[in-house]
Amino acid sequence: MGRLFWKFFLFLFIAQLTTALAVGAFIQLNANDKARRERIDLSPVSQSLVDAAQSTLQFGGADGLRQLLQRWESQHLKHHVYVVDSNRQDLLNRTISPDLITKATKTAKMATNTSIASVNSDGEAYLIFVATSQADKKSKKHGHSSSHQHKLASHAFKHASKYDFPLTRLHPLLGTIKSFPLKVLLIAFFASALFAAMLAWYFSKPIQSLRLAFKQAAEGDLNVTVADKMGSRHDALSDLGQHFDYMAKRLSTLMQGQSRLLHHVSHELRSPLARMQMALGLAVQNPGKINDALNRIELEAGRMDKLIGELLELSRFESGMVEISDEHFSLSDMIKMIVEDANFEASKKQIQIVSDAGLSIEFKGQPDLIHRAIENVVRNAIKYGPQQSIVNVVCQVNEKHQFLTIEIRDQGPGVLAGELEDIFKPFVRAQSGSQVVGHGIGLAITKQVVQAHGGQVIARNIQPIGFSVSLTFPSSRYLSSQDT
Amino acid sequence: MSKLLLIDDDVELVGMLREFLQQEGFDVTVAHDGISAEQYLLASHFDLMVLDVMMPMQDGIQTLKNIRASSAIPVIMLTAKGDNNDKIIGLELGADDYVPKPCTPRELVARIRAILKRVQSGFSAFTDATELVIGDFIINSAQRIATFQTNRLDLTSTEFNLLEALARHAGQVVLKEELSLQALGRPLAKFDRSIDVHISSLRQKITQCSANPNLIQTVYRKGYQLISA
Repeated sequence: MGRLFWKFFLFLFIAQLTTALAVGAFIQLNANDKARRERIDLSPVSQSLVDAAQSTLQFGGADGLRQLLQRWESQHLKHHVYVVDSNRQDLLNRTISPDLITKATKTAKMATNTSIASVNSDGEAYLIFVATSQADKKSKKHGHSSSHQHKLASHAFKHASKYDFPLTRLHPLLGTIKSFPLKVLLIAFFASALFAAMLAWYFSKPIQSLRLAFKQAAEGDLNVTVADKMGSRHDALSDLGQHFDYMAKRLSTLMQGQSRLLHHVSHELRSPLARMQMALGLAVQNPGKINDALNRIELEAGRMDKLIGELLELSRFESGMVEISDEHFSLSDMIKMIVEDANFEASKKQIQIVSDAGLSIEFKGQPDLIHRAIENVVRNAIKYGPQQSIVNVVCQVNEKHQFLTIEIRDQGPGVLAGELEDIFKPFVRAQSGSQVVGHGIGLAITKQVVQAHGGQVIARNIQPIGFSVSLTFPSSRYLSSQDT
Repeated sequence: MSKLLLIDDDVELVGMLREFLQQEGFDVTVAHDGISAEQYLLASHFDLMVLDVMMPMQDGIQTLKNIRASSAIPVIMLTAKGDNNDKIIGLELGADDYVPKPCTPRELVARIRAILKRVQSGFSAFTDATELVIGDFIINSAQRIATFQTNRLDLTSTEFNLLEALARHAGQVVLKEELSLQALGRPLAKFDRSIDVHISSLRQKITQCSANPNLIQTVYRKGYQLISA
């Protein structure tokens, strides 16, 4: 458990405990207040009332007393005279708070005053006391008890033993504190500790696992996952975990791609080097071949230079550092130019390039990049097309859906369906094209250029035989005027 | 004239290498992928094969695996420089040696010659004894056949050379430098693990017919020793 857990825990715990204590104290005070609303009155007035009631009970019996009480009650006196039997029932069946009765019993037991009397009549023990309904009334000074009353009270006391409850004989104030329930206090303490711990754990656990995952990722292990450690929760934290997993996965893929690229690059750079060494070896073996060897070395050096240049360009594209200029130029003229240039190469394989650039399309973009993008695909088509075949270059504007397509088709064997995406990755050469010298970086550049112009590249196989690459650009990139 | 089979997908490179090797007096056949190489091997006999590891479709490692299932032809692997993985895997699969690419053709020819010399002449110094019996091993240098407890061991030529060299000095430590010279025909290079890898695959082959895997003991930092009894 980290520090976060303890911070959460402590704050929540203190907050909950404070709340619990505040609420508890409020309720307790309220209860005390209620109990105080009606309190036992020990004034001389009460004393005489109790005396009268006591006499009536002794001589008039319970019925006589009941009549007297009813009369007093009808006069709405401030003082209420209560007469309680051993079942804690009032003679007039008035509701009396049990606290009050308890207190009266207690006071009677202490037997220091005569305002409360315990009387035995007809085999029934009665407790007589007076209560006033003034909450704020301070207890008055007790009247001095006469010896007679004392005797009476102590006599009554023996009979009042039925009212004897296990009571605190402490100072009233201490009693109040004591009466604040300790059990409740303990329950509040442990419950709030428990819930605070649960909540703190609930928050700090996912953060903890995220922290560990970040640490692991920083140490280079990108195979970490967090989402499965979050359990079944669905909230901002579990979202965070899922996003972390996604990020780690992406980073891992990118890094794998980079290291694969590095691997390919080193291989591609070594191939010309190996050929150079071979040429050198031949020249040493047979000095008559020095010229051939020098030509070979020049060729290979040029290849290496081109490769490095293209790699740098590709990496600039991939890092997003290339800004595309918005020059206007004729796409139709450019395609014608590319086809003318490529014809020389194509004629070696007796390939015919058929182009349909009959449209006059003005393109908006960076001409040298677009030139390279198209040229790469055309040269690719010548490279993989069979002898005596046709390469088609078709440029079309789709007026309805507002896009421009440049399609280059060859009659070669195409690539496996699963490799259609891969041919746009650097240094991936389709298996069928393995015999052809060259490096698979041209189509990668084409893709980057087209994407930088807001378009996309799609490769597909043509049935029964053939292969097509389409460069598609959005309408913002061209101004077409059907030139017929 | 020794017949060589060159397998590499780099057409231009192989063209030049063939020219070079022909000048050096070899009969060279060229294949550009592993599958056609296997077909060439089935069709005719070659004395040695130079195999590039990095090839499309079927790489050199897989090709070697397929070839080793049926043939003990000496194989030199062309590996990418610095790729130790390819090197170790190649040797484990029974390549006799490896040459990092790019290499000078002279270096390659020297390796080819060294292997051919070992294979073709056997150990000329030992030709006096036709059969060597060490414990459960019977090693026939003339026929280049090794048997262990009547089971014939299916060894590559390098493995055979190693076993023979160890058997000649059974019970003694044979230094790695010595083993490298006798089995690979070249001095031991620094940090070269080839001998260790060959010994490990030799051990595996012996273990297949024996319960005791420690017939060839490692003498730390020095060499190996064949237990004589």
